[in-house]
Amino acid sequence: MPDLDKLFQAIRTGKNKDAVALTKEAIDAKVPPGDVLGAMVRAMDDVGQRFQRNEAFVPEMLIAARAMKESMALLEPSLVAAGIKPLAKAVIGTVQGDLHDIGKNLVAMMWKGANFDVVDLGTNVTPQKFVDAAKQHQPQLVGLSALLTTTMPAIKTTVDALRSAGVSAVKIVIGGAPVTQAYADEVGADGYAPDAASAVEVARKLLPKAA
Amino acid sequence: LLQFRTQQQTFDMGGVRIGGKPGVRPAVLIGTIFYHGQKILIDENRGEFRQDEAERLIREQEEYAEKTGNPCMFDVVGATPEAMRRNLEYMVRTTKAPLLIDGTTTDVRLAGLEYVAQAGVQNRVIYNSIQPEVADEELAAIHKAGVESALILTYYMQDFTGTGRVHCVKELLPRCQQAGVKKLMVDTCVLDLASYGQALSAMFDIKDELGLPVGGGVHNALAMWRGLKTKMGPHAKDPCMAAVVAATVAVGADFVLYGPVEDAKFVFPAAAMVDTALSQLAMERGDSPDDGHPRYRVG
Repeated sequence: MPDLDKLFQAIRTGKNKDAVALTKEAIDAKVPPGDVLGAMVRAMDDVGQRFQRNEAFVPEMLIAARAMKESMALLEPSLVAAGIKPLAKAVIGTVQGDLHDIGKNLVAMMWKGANFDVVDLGTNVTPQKFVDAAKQHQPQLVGLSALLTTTMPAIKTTVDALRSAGVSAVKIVIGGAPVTQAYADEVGADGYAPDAASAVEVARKLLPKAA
Repeated sequence: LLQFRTQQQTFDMGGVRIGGKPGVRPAVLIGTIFYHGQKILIDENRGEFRQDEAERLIREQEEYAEKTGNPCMFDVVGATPEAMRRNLEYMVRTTKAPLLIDGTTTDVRLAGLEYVAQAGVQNRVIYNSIQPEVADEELAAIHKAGVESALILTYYMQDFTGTGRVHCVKELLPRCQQAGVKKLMVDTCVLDLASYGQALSAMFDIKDELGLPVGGGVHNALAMWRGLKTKMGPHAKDPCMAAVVAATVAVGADFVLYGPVEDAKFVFPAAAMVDTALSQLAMERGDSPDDGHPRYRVG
């Protein structure tokens, strides 16, 4: 019986080749795919929690996410066959005028690590593009990121566009260097995430079914 | 120590020579001006600032460059296209040092390119930066403006490791050449303390394999260090700033983007100290440090 704790450790420490090999081993041994996925999600949660405690750094998050991504590619057909779906769908992007994507990418990775299906719209995303994506993909969650004070107003424009386009059931989470909880309250966002790891916690609170 | 398999390339960027063997040519030190939150700013969106204070900071960096022998450049930030044009216009008439066009968004950087083309100062500027996801349109704008110097930022999310950064440069080189960029410096992408280690490793590897001038925005290592102030206290930042610069020069960096230009007083002595030490290695290998090297000035 493959040891899922080894898979947990491989993803947690970003050893992508080991993680892929251990995932293959688990699939071949007919370990329930939900259990394999659970080990992966726990590993990403661990990285996120250590990041929040200042015990992990950005490169660790990035390599752990890469290990999970490569392992998930292998596991995906087994999850589909077992009828196991992502816990939530999310659309994410950096708002119009802003090309910074480090924070946005980290959040997207951590959401994927929490077993969310993430549609990444990239950077410099117009409010209309967010609205179109929300209508097309029907997400439960939208993430908006801005690094600059000069582009932060585009968060409000995008929130307004999403609300007035009739996608008000979507929970909107915002973040970025100049963004605060007070600003999130002011623009009517549902949540504020000060960092990528918090974005997972905030999403789980907003979407109890994803917890 | 610090010997490379590949012949090292050197470039004249705006009158400053950059690259080569450690110990022969001192590290170029680049302070950032007009960054978000800088005290001299009055209205960062309109490019309004206290000119007397800006000039004082410019002169201070220039004086340290003169005193130590470490050449300097200015990384010129603009929050908006209007601000970038005004900031560059001011810098062009206030200093002779090379200027990096550091817009936070593409439209700001493009406004910088338009300004330098109109002003005919293409040879004084370095485009900051070309990243892996750069659009063809942006490269075409660099070409059209006639700017031949650029900084590659190895922000490579697909493989955020030391070796990934080397791969990133190799991927970008043909595109840069097609865009008429003939002189390149490579920023090995520091995001935080841990990635600073990867960046240092990549600096050596890129020099070893490609021979290009390398360095990094080391200030990010401190800016993202949450415990620096909360755990280490208010006095820890300045010595750490000097240390991070010294360590970067010690691994053979050709340039250091050290962050706020106000830190010149900590940064230049630290870099000159290490450059002087490295010059002895160069001499023992039969190379001669450049005229004006810190070795001949700091004693």
